[in-house]
Amino acid sequence: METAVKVLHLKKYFKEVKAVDNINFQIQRGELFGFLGINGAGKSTTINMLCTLFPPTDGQVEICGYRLGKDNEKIRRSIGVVCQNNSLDNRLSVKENLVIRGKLYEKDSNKLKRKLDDVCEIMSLKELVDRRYAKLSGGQKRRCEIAAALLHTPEILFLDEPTTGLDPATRKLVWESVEQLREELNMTVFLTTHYMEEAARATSIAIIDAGHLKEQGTPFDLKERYAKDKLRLVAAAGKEQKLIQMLEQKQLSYYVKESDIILTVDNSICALPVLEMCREVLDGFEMLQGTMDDVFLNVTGRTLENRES
Amino acid sequence: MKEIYVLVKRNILIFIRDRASVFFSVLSMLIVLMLMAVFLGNMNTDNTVEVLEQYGGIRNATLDRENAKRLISMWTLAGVLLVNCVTVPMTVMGNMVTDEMEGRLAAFYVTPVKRSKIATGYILASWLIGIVLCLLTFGLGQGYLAACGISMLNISDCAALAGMIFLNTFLYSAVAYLLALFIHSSGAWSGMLTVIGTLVGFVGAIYLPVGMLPEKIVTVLKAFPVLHGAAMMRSVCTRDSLAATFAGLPTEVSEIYQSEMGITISLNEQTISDFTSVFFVIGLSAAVTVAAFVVSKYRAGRDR
Ligand SMILES: Nc1ncnc2c1ncn2[C@@H]1O[C@H](COP(=O)(O)OP(=O)(O)O)[C@@H](O)[C@H]1O
Ligand SMILES: [Mg+2]
Repeated sequence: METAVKVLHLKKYFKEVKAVDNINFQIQRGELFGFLGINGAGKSTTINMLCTLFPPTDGQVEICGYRLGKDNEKIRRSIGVVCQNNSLDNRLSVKENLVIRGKLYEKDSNKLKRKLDDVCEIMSLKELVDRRYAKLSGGQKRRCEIAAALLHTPEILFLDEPTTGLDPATRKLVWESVEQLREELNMTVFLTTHYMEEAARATSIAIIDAGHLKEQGTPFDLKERYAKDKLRLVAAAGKEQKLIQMLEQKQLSYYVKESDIILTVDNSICALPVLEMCREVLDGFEMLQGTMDDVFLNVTGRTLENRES
Repeated sequence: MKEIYVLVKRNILIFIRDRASVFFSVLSMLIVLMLMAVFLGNMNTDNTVEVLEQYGGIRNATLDRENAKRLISMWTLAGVLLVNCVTVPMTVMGNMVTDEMEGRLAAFYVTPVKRSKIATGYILASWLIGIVLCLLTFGLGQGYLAACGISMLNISDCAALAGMIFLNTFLYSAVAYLLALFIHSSGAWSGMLTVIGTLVGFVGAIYLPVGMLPEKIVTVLKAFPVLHGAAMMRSVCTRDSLAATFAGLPTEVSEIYQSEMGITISLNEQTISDFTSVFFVIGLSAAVTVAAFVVSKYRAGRDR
């Protein structure tokens, strides 16, 4: 498989702030790469360097085979960027905005018109094209921003927190559009987010924390390694002590949350012998799948409280 | 070239769509025009009539006053025009600062369009809007004066004045771009605009004639293009009314008057020709433009 993005020892220091500190990763062509981290972790700094907005303090970057710092203009032609803040003009209509953006890439106005129709189709903007950008909802604006970045059919699409601040339904819609892009156009997508759960939809994930790359892999792989499944046991009336005794006898580690007893297991299959053993003292049970939240917490060693800060 | 055209069009559109801002730009220049015509105009007219009485012996007093009134009206109009040549391009350039603040500039920087072209887009848009609004002020000013019974400038003087408007608005568009590279908040920008708008009236000796300012200050002002811009425009605007007003008087009287009113600038006892002032403004424009592109290019390789 071809490599779309190659990052080696990338660093960015703002005076004493080490925003990005020696990170390495690769993205294969056609991947949906999720760059995961809390606010201030260094996501935007990384994406802005890859998009040629400012130079790294140190390190090598190759995008679509072009060296950053040497072939910046070629890189700019190969990428589409949706920055963290909306960047279209409030005072112009959606169509005016898209035409202006498109003309900066495509000189042939017939071709541009076709592309305009295409992206409006993909991002379902047909009804919005004549509306003033300022009057759109947050989700509609986001879709326009993505459409503007797609006008020149880039090989790689960079999205900096495309779903931040949107309601869950709209977030889902944005993800669906992105997945569709990847499938239909075989586009490589680099996306940052601080919503841990939605990162599970990516094909590959990297977790960044305080400028350091902590872990990377597929969501499945990371969950396997960092998010153990949990077994929640509900004891039959009056059998709580009995259940606890049985678990202790087998030296199984558990903890009690409210009236439930929760066991961490390597995977669902490992729960079977436990269930078999305690069958007669149980009222019910539930398997809790490991989540990306767990992965994130285990990887970064952070607690949920300071996550949203 | 197409990219520059697209960017200029976009920048102009952004400015025009902000109706309130266009309205207040036009309103503020009209207010300045009115205030100057009504208050400062009378004072300066009286002074001029005094000069004429002093040197002219017994002349036709009514005609003198009428000539002086036209002379001062044209003098005032030239001053107002120069203020607009400075402030309008600066106001328009405010959109670049907002673009930077709200992340829109970054969106242009990630396109393959060269930064120099993006810079050109901002400068040209400010320049064009500056030209249009200044010509509009001139038209309105002439119309207002005509309504007051003051005859208009002839075609060739109008053409020369238009050329000076082109020249001066360009200079201040380039200056505005250079400043915008260093100012990162629209609050700071509008604060700066207020300061510049107020200063320009004094630096160009528009509110007060040069003759009323201390000599040391005038010496310093001669190094700034505002005074030169004002002088060249006044010189064109008052050419024919000066001739009429000072007809039959010794040339020294007119010369002293012109230098007191900032219609001509003198350096080391020598009068600087309009040509020299024009040349100074052109040279400065070139220097500022080069500086703007150099800073812009240097920035491209560094953090914002
Ligand atoms: N231009 C800058 N100057 C100084 N510090 C910066 C600058 N940009 C970002 N930082 C700092 O770098 C760190 C990473 O920021 P950022 O990449 O924006 O985080 P994220 O996008 O993950 O929320 C933060 O501590 C931030 O304060
Ligand atoms: Mg960010």
